[in-house]
Amino acid sequence: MIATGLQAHGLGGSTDLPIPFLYAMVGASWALTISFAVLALAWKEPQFAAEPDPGDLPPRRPWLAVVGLLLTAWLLVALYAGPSTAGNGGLGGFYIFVWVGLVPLALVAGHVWRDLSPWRTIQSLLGPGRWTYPKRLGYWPAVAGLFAFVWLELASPDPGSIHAVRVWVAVYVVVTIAGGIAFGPRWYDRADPFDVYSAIVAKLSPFVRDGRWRLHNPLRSLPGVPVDAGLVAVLATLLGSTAYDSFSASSFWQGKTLSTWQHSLTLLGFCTVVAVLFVAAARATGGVSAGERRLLPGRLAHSLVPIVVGYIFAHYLTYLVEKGQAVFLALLDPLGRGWHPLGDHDTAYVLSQHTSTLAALKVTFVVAGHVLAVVAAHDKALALLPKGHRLSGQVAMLLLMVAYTFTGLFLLFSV
Amino acid sequence: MRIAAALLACALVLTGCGGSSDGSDGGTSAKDAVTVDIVIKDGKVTPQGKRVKVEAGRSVTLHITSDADEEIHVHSDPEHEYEVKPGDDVTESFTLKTPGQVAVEAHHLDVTIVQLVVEP
Repeated sequence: MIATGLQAHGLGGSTDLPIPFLYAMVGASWALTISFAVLALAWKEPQFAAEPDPGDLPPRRPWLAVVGLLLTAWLLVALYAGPSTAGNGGLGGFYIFVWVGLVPLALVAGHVWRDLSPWRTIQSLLGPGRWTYPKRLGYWPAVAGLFAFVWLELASPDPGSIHAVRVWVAVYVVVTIAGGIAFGPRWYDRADPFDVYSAIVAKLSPFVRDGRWRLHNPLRSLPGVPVDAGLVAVLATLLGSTAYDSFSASSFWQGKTLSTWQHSLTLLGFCTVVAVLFVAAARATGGVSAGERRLLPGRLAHSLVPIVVGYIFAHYLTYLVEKGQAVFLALLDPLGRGWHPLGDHDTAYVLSQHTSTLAALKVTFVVAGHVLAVVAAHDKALALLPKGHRLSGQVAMLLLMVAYTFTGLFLLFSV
Repeated sequence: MRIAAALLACALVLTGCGGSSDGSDGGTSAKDAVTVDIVIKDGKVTPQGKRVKVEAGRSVTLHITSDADEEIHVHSDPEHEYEVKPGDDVTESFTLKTPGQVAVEAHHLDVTIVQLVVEP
């Protein structure tokens, strides 16, 4: 058996150059300066926290449900009936278009995943769930699903193996359909990892609000991320795993020969550290009761979303744009019969060829995410914290966000 | 204000740390054709996880000596694969056109031998 476990993100090919030191420094300085400017100079009364709760979301659009069924069928046919090689279009489509493509899709078109989701369509045809989704489960099933995905992609023995992906997707499909039959649509709002991921990122979309096209300030929709148990863990899994992905490509880490267990535990450790620090920083304020303090991490969790999205864009941009091309062509030939409806194309390295532009873009994503996060956290803190602790109660969170961003920039620069 | 000053100090220390660790420890000049000596012996590969700078378009040569069956993959586009057998002493060359980092991996031992840092 040929092990291909070291390939970045399950697919072969090159990875980005490190960003130049100067770019990382400029990004870090901007992040730091803007953070303290927000703390010291920004508004002193909450601006966005008093937004009314959105009403019921509009019904799913049937034509999108049909599109979703067709796209899913295409991907699954490619994955299971296509060639059993690393060039399988379904494999690449799963890693690139489903996992990475989900983020820009949600940013541009909102939570369109809800309309596209074939699992929601199947569920809607089978009638409402048999039981009520247990409240105390919160987002935890989605956390388990997300961790299962990042484990497959980053820490499993062989992420590029078509066999491993086929097994993973089969288990996911069975669990997802069974969850819908058991608990109805609520399962997809809380337990389907991709649906939850898309729903959360969509709150940052400036173009779509409450399921319909409407240009707005994303800081107004961001506090609408539904708070439930496990929300911090969802975001920590996304941020921690992306940081682990960078870290595991470092010379230091590659110089070690480690078992799958050691990789898996390190991945878990990254996610846990991100979560624990966030919970601690959110709670670090005076003037609130123990009960209120316990609720603070969840209520501030939405402010972590822009940091996650900015870092994921910086990390995965070339992957999506450049490797996506080959995967798209492979998907046009799902059965591996040599179909080339668009002719033969070499990958156009539109980003890799322009190293300075790419580095500038990456720093911009990280810093923009950081600024949005700091502003969102500041505004929410004003609404949540008692008058005397409004400034001091934010300092720990601000520091942590600076630390997240510096770590992100450091990883982009050093690996 | 005192807090802000302390934070700034922290930040400077942090970024200072960043500055001291140069991301590339290959130390090879990118200007000339690059040769990487790879030794596979007693179930170990030398080097492991090293960074080697390469200029895009220049020739890269792998000089591999091995005491075992091994498959060397160069994760570039297009990919290169070289099979080596016990007692082999082989030399393989290729060029990398696109800037980025290209991993050279030993697939049976499941390690990254070198990461070729292809600079424009």
